Amino acid sequence: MTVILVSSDNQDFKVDKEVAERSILIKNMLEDVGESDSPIPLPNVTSAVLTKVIEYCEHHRNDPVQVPEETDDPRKRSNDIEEWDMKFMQVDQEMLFEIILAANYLDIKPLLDVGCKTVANIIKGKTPEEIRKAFNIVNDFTPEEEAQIKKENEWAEDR
Amino acid sequence: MSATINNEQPPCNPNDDLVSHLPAELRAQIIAHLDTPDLAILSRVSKDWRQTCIPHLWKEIQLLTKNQMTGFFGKSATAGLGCYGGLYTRAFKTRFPETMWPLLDVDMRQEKAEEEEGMVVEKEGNKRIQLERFDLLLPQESDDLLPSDADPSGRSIILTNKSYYIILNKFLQTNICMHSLHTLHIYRVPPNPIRVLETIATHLPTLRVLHLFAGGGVPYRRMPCLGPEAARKFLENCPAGLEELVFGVKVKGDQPPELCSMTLPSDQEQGASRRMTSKHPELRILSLPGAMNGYEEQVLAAGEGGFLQGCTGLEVIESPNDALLKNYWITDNDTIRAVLSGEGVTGTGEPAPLHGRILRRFCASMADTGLPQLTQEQQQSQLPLPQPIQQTQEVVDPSVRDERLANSIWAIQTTNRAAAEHAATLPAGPGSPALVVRKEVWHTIVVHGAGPLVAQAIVQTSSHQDGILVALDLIDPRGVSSEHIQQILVHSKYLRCLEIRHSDNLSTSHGLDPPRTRLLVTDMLVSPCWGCLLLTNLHLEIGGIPRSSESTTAGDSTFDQQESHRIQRQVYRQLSTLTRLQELRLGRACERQDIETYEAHQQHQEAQHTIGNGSEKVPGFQRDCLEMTLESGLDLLGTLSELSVLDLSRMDHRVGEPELRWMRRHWPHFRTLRGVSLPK
Repeated sequence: MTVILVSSDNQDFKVDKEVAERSILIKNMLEDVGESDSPIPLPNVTSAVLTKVIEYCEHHRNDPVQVPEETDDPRKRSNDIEEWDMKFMQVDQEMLFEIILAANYLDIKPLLDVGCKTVANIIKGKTPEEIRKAFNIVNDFTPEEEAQIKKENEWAEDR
Repeated sequence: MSATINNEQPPCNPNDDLVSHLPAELRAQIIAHLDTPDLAILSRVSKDWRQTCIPHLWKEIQLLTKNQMTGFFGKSATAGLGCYGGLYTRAFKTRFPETMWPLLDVDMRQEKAEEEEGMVVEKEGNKRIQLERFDLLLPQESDDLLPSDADPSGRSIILTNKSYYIILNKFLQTNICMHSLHTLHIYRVPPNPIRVLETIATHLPTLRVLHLFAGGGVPYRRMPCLGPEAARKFLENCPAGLEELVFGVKVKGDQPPELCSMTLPSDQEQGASRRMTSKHPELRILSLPGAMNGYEEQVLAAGEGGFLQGCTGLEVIESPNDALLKNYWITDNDTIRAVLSGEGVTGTGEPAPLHGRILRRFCASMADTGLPQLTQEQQQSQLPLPQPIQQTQEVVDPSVRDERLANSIWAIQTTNRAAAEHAATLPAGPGSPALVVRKEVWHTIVVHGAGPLVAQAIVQTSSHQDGILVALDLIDPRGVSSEHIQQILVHSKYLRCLEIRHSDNLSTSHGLDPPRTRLLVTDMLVSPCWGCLLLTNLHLEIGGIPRSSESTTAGDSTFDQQESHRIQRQVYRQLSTLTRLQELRLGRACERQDIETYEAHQQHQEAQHTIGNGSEKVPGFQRDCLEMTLESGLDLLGTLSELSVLDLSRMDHRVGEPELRWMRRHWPHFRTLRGVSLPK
């Protein structure tokens, strides 16, 4: 069985139900509507992003459903990304953030996780200046403020 | 958001600060993957990011290196603590007792401010620090692992003993801990623990998990000594809501008076009416890793209001060091057993309910002569065994022996179960037989030369709903398969110690492969996840991991390194669920003794060298093992925050300096690493 997804720019995507249901949002929609051929509009997702998202869901169509195992300390979660996912995420930053937003909207937890990990990996091990450069962030601290915060955080920065 | 129809080249505005425009909850998800140093750096990037990072950065303060300690003493850090500590700080983990001062200072200042303002105004940045978890760790010794130039200042300041426990005591009595603390781990042992114990008993009513002077790398010899009366009083008065208690003390009679008496304010008001009430109904796990030296009755089961009588919800009681030394087991004591099974209550009043499980050891060993010899220790059950096993000196065929042993494990399990089921059908009431039936389950099973039938019996007994298997030690197993091991790991949810080892040493195995009992990666990854999440000691050979060989054998045999890393990652991922691991021994299974001798002769460094060059195969080393490199996914083991011993001495691992650094940073209790030769 297939379902039709419609992107914000009105392109139709025909995908297997099993693939589409990787998105909890779509899964719930389909359950609410019942058997129906009517296309599902996704006004928050462009066709470029939806293409990527479907590619991800196709590849992971047979993955077991993730048991939500929320550890009390999320920082202990590891940052490893599977080989395929890593390659999948090698896109420009705009696309990366669009994928994260789409995964959040469509409620595809594993994809959202991979996206967030990818961004976290960009941040890791860099200096503040390097991070600003990587994301075009404007430094809105005065030099005094920055020095002050550096001191405040000194206990936390030592590796 | 731009609608990009042409997905070939989406427009990318170089001036766009995309990440800062993400919704706050998504930014929080991103930084959840960062550790503290990266968070600290990120908070210096912009005001926006600082706001996002602060709650996470201050949630858990962890001071493990001297740089962290000195940084924490700085004025700005103290100001930060005053500002954010009350709002966000919930956990405090430190190696340096003196770092409690800044917290005390902030608390005192806040108290003063509150007094001056009269009413407490709950405005931002004016909340008191309320810790939920506090860990006082041992001073660092794993610095030895690193070349001396790595961190010359890594050693801790040795405080005078006096000031150490005074600070600790004061700290525990403040508002910082009193109303919120539910987890307390103290590994650094004060010279006189009495004052600290008094404080814990009287000031921390919200405590649920308490680990004192054991675990976290505390060696047996460092556990404090205590007089029996003081130990009894502490246990009877420790917080009522405790769910887990690990109490590492050595109880001795000939102690100086200051170690024997404990004064508690409740001493006077404790009337007879309170005596019979259950005082620690929530306690599920009681671990006494020290030694009781004959005082166990006096300490644990003194009279009607004794400590154990009040532990009606107890699931596991153990004295692990005794088990290791194989001389005594706390539940071998008849009085203790009687209390646990509820029959020790005599006299008037309601009969105590049947509670607690008595845990039993089963041990079958072979004599050094090599002749299979059967002994069973601690056969104290009054329940008749259908097939009693006789002590025998004769040579027994291994398969016959295997069957006999398996039968006796079965027999005890079946008898226990039948008795328990029978007891359940009997009417309850005073004098009812239901009260005297012992609910016995496994604790320790030690078997030399276990065969497949024994393995099967262990799998069955550990997967049964009543099956509490806490320690399993298989020495020289023959025919125990990889699936058996996997089954045990999947089903034994109470398992704390698993050792599967061979007593062969390198000299005897020279030239030929000894029989290997090991867990194959193929079995490990198909079945469901391991259920043994309480595991603290694991000694197991995990094999069958394809490794790319450094030797340039071209063609089909060269293995794709990425594929190898992918498989290794899955193994690490499984290991990473064992968050309570303290000792991890991987690689070719062998006797502990053997490792020590081997290490003492420093041969492994040469051997390591040989292997590193990829030339001749050295017997006794496992080649199809984990690489233990960050590249292969070692960083997944960052969850093993309790780990203190890692033994890789029989593995062809590739641990280098980056890995050593990583270990030191991520495993605060890490103290011993075997099988790694340090760079000169």
